[in-house]
Amino acid sequence: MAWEFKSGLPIYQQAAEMVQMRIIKGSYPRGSRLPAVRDLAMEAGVNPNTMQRALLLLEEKGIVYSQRTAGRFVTEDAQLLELLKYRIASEQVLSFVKRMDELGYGQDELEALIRRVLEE
Amino acid sequence: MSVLLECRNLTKRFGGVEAVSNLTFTMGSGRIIGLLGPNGSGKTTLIKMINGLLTPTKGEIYIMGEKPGAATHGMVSYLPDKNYLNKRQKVYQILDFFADFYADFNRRKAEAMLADLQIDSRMSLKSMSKGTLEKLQLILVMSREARLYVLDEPIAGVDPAARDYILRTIISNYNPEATVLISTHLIADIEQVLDDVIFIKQGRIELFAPVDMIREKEGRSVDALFREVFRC
Amino acid sequence: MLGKLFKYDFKELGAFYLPIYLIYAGITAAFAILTALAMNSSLQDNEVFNLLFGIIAFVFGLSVTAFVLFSGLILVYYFYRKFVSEEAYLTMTLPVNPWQHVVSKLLSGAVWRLFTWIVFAVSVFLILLVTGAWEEMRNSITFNFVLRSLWSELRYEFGFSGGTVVLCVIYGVMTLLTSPLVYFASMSIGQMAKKHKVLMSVGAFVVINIVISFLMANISILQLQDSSVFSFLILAITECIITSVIYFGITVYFLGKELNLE
Repeated sequence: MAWEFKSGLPIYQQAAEMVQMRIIKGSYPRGSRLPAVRDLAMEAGVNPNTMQRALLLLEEKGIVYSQRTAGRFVTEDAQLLELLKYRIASEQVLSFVKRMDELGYGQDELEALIRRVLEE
Repeated sequence: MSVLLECRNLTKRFGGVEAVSNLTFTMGSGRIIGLLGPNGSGKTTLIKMINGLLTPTKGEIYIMGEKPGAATHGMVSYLPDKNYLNKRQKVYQILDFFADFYADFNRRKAEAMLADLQIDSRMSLKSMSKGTLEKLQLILVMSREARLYVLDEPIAGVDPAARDYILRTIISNYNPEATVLISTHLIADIEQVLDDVIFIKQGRIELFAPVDMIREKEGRSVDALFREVFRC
Repeated sequence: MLGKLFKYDFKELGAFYLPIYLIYAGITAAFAILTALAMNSSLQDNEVFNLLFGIIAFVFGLSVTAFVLFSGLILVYYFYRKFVSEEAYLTMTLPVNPWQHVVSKLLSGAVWRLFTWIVFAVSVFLILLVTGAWEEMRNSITFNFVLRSLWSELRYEFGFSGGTVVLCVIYGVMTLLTSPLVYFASMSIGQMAKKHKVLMSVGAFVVINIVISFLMANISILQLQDSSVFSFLILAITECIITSVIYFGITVYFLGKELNLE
């Protein structure tokens, strides 16, 4: 996944979302150690302070935790990660449904449409 | 965050024109700061005063408590917008020169960067293209372990690949003790690398704020804000 | 730092002076070869041959004149490059004080100019030797007489003595060291100009010279007390010290406090 930043939002928030996405997808597995801030910053092409702030945000959410000397780790809490995945997925679905609603699709029509597309 | 650079009522007049007007600000350590403004806004004048190449008409500059001079030159690593190297020499000779004069010059780092950019250290400066010379200067400047890096338009003339390399170098070189001041008018390219931006307009500071604060408050990029502030 | 500066200044200036020495060597060699050819052949009275000798002697004279002029100009150009041109962005951001820069340039310049004179002297001597002129001079009664009477005249008419010789040497060394300072001072003022830095330097040079000669003519301690060579040398040395201090002060002040690299 490339690191691309949209213009309207703070960069640290976007960077936090991208790291979070990688965790959910399993690129950074549960309980594993995250790359160092500087390396992550290098990879994303952002300022190390920004990446640090992004990781602190994830720390606040409990998705990662830091150990004083060993570095930063992805949480062991499978339930939390599941919940996170669920929340992100439902957000996506919600925005999708909203757009379909704008196009005039009712619930039944939408369900039928999804089923048909999936079967193809 | 200790104060690294302090300007007090800094003014530079050329003839009757004020290129820099009454600037007062401080910069802490561990920041990457963009000095943004259109051509002729006073960026280069400010930078030259920081490096002691221009004498202020009024006001003072302190770098780690010292006025620009031999002592601050040892702490400030400066990339001018000019080719300042004597071309009658080879790359390794200029490395010798930097190693001799700057106690903070890290030769191994310079050699690694030269290898990255495929510049042979036996190459003569005369045989280099303008772009290669610019890269060489940047390597020399970034290979110092300075407290303050002052880069005057480092990405203006280079190709996109080199620009990426430069930005990566600035990031990988990050040191909480040091601050990097980058002047540019190409904001979109470097916005995500910056902690703070200074907007300078007709010699005055229009804005000095963290990038993410601007994005949070304005709901748009610094680049977009810049275009509005400096709309012709 | 001074040592390091000297090392680099000496090396860089060498690039200007070494070619001059090569030319001296080449001309000396040409004399030697021509003489050798002339000796063991019937060409001795050949007109073409004499013409060749004449041409080489002329080239030698010309190049000596040129180098005497140049060896001063080299330092002026070098100062311009280091402090006024774009290279000044590097020179003036080295962790070095302006006085160290100036001293290093003066020292390295003096050493190279001294070398130039030595090489010149050696080369003239060798030419005299290979062409046989040296032998002729040594055996010539007139030449020896002229030398001897010149010395006695210096001794008795002008009061030359061991002391004056020492003063002469001191004055020579001082001039060698400090003669570029007036140009340095002019250029350090000239660099303040916004655009026409060279023009302003020339202007500064003229003004400095007028002011200094006015001062020298009007300060009483700088007037000749009697007509002996000794007091003349003392006066010359005093003047040299005073002007050098002024020029050095101007150069260091303007490079340090009024730098204006636009």
